[in-house]
Amino acid sequence: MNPIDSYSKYLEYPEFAEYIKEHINEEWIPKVLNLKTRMQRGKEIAEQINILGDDGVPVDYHVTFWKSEVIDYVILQQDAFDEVDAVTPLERQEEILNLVTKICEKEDFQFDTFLDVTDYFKKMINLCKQMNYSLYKSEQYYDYVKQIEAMLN
Amino acid sequence: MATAFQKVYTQISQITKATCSLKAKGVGYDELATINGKLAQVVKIMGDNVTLQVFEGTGGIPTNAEVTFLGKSPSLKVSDQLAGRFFNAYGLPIDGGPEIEGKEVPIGGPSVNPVRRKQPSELIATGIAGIDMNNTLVSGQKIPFFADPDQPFNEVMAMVAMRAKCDKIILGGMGMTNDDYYFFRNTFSNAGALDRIISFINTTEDPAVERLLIPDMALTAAEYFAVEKHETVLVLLTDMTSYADSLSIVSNRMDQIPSKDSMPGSLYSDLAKIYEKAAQFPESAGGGSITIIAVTTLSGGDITHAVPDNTGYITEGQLYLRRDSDVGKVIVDPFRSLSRLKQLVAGKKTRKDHSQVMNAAIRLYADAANAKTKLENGFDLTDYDNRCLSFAKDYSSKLLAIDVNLNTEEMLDVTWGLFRKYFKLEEVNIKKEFTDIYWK
Repeated sequence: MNPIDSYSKYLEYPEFAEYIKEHINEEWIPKVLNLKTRMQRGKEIAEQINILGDDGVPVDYHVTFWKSEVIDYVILQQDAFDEVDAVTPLERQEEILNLVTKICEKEDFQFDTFLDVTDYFKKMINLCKQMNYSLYKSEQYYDYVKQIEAMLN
Repeated sequence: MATAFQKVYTQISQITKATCSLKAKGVGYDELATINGKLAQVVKIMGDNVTLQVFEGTGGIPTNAEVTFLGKSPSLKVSDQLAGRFFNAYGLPIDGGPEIEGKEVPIGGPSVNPVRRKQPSELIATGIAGIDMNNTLVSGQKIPFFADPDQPFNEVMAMVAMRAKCDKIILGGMGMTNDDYYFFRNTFSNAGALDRIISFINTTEDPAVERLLIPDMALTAAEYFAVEKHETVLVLLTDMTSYADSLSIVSNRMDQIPSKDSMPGSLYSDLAKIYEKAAQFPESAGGGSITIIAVTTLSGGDITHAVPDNTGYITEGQLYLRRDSDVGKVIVDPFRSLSRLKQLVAGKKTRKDHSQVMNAAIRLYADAANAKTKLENGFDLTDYDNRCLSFAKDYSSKLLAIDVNLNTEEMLDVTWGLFRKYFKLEEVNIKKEFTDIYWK
């Protein structure tokens, strides 16, 4: 599914906003919209990098781009052929969303080159993927959450 | 061919290049007839005005030619004697051997009722990793090769046929060159496999319209072995584009209004009638299956042409061949090929890590394609880009190339080997459960 070209009008409906407020919380829609904006920004930067090259853009751009990659890999790309990852209940979705939002909101990175950015986020994505493959609330699951939190501090 | 008391008509009212019309009663559609000994088939009935299509053309037929109707549509005699033999489009031997004795079955009957079928679930191993690993074939599946005419699709198909563990292989050759015919014949006899192969051949020397009978002949034989003998049957059809070309010739002669690309409007049904004969029978019915592997040649790689387009809606995926200039080999293109039934066997009949390894490898191969674009646009490559490019070369020549022959475990092991050689654990993104075992 193309995350940028696809859309659902439901996010704009007051009835849905009311519903989701009851079933998850009232921050859900703003959080989703925030991630959508980040996806779009990531795409724009990917185009810039294609034109100017990796060295042609500031390191910050790479950070923004890779944050959008985290959203893509961790939330949008589910493994439909994996028993655990194929079924993500709302409660788990919220936890993933919160975690990814946390990763996206971290600003105080200190990277020297874009290569460091890539290395860092690839490690992060791999940990998140492993978390997605783990049984919800299992020991293994919490172990990955801990490792991800450690990378954020 | 006239027998006693058979009605002989001697007044043909109209002759065109390919058809003769006459007044006759009590004939049916698709019924065979002879006109001065030449075989013809009823293609149109208007009142008592019957139009016959003469397979080899109407050259030399006078208006007073003797026309006799045979009272039957094209048929095939089926029995175990079919094995190892070569036939023409009428089901008559062309290998100099004796005629077949057996039950006479009309060809082109209905396909098997879906409620009598089983969800396909058996792996067909071909040894080619581009197929077995990335686009696994399943028995009872229908899938074509989409290939340009210059690509070695017949070679690949013959290879698949020889390696696949099946009881019978039925080859339907349409518009084949004699070279291709002899290629298949030699390949099968050199492999000592002739006794499980049955061929129906229409070469470029034969009348083009005859080839319309080939798929139905081949599938009638296939149904005999699959339904009555409970055997696993692999049907190879090459090439369906030349079959469709004949359809367009016939519909044109019948004054039908042509549809897209001068194909008849019934193209979809005509193709579906053939492909839908692929089936897997449940064990309760004794097992048996018909798997169809066809070839659809493309003109200049154009998949929007009516033939590949319609085929794509009917078949369960398609396999693309592409020449990879980086390694100088023909490969099964992982981006454009697809077997829609692969998940029925991947990780179930094959090793558990199958789909994860497949996905990771294709993602890295896509990264290599991006790196290549970067290189072509004159940008510096990163270390990761270079590793991707080297991986892509190895992956292409050791796994995607059509000259590969590995079993499914070996191809996964080779891929793991390439992962370890070129990447870090976190770049591969495979479930820890599998990296713990195979990342050594």
